[in-house]
Amino acid sequence: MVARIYIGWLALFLPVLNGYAGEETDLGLFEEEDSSVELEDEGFGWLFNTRLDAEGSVLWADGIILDEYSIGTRLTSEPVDFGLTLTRNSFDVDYEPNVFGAPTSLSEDRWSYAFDSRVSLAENWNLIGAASYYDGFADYRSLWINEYYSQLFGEVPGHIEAAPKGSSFSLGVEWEYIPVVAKVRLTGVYGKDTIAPASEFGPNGFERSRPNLYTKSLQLQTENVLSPRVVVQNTFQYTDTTNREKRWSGQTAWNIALSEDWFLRLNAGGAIEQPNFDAYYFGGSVEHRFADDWFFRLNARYYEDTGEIENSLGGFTSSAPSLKSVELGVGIRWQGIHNSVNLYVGYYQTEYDPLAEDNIFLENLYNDRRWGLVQLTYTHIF
Amino acid sequence: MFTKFACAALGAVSLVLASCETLPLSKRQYISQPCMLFDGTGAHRFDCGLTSQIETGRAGSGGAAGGGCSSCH
Repeated sequence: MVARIYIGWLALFLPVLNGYAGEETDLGLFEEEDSSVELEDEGFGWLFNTRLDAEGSVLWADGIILDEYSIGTRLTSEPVDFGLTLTRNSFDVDYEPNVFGAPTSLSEDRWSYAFDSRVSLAENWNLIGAASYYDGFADYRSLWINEYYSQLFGEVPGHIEAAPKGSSFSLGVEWEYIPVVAKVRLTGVYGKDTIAPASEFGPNGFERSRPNLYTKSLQLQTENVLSPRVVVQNTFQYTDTTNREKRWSGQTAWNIALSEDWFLRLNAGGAIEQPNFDAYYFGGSVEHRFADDWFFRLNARYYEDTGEIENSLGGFTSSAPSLKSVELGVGIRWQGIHNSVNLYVGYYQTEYDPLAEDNIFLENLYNDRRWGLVQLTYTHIF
Repeated sequence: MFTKFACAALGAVSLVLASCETLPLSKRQYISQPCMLFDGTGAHRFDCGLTSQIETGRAGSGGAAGGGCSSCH
């Protein structure tokens, strides 16, 4: 497990070491960089700006290691731009049953593939679309709960091993109604998730919950430059998922240039879902340019919800109780013209309310935990 | 309650304050900085997706897995 993490970090460092030599600092307009890759010879007839992004993150606590590595590229031109991203998530969990079963070590990967594109329809109007597919557990909690059901019902006729996967598609339109200053975007999303279903013995014998869930979502996003130093993005979203009530969520994010060397990023948001799910969060970070091409960042944020909605078959539930979490971190970023590297180290704390009788069997999953977080990211602009 | 109201008020205020004039190139030196951009990627990304596995009510933890614990049912 540890060796795998090191290999992932090494993959991130290699391009950094390759591109470091000969860098200069960019103190001017970021968008003025002219490093186009001309594809006219190939018959495209467009000038593409190309960038490469690589990210590696590890979040760990006692008995749990979660990591995520991704690599993506984006080709940008005047009439069209598109991006491709490949992501691998790993979940390494020391499973410890509370009531029934045997402890064991779980290790699973999830691979995700994403494509997104933006096409200019007319002046200030863009069509945006995206598609994604993943194969594997959505998170470490579903892996844990699936192990519980496998140990409990694995030998029962009719039990099927979980093979979670999912895909989603989105299509939207973006209108920049005041060039550079104001734009609005409306996006519709449709997704299908094949989940690890719950199992139990009911009045009709062995029962399993539905394996497929469908999600429809509509998102409205605005972005406004309030002044040459303040940019605001607001997002409102409506989500409708199979077997769930409708969810409404919103977020506001403010980026403020306090001076040439001090930047402030603030965000706050929340979500509401009937009958009793309620979540809110807020956070902020201060970034300071302490040398020509070096930035230092302090980050803090808080999250709280009222606990997930119980929608299991009945009798008992795997829903999480009310959660409060806090993250504190520091980061350092080096930003050149063609290469940028960002290292972030954080402390993350999660605290759950006590479990009830119907989910006490997951007490070890919903433990209060102290997490460490390390994120190394890299961008190369050709 | 106060926090929720403050969040909503903050978002509403920003819509009212939106400028109606375009920004000349000479005044874009701040908003074009990478740390002033939203939805950045790579070295210009300012959040970590791993924590959204836990915080199911946060933006970005979308899909069926987002809240309601349907991913594990």
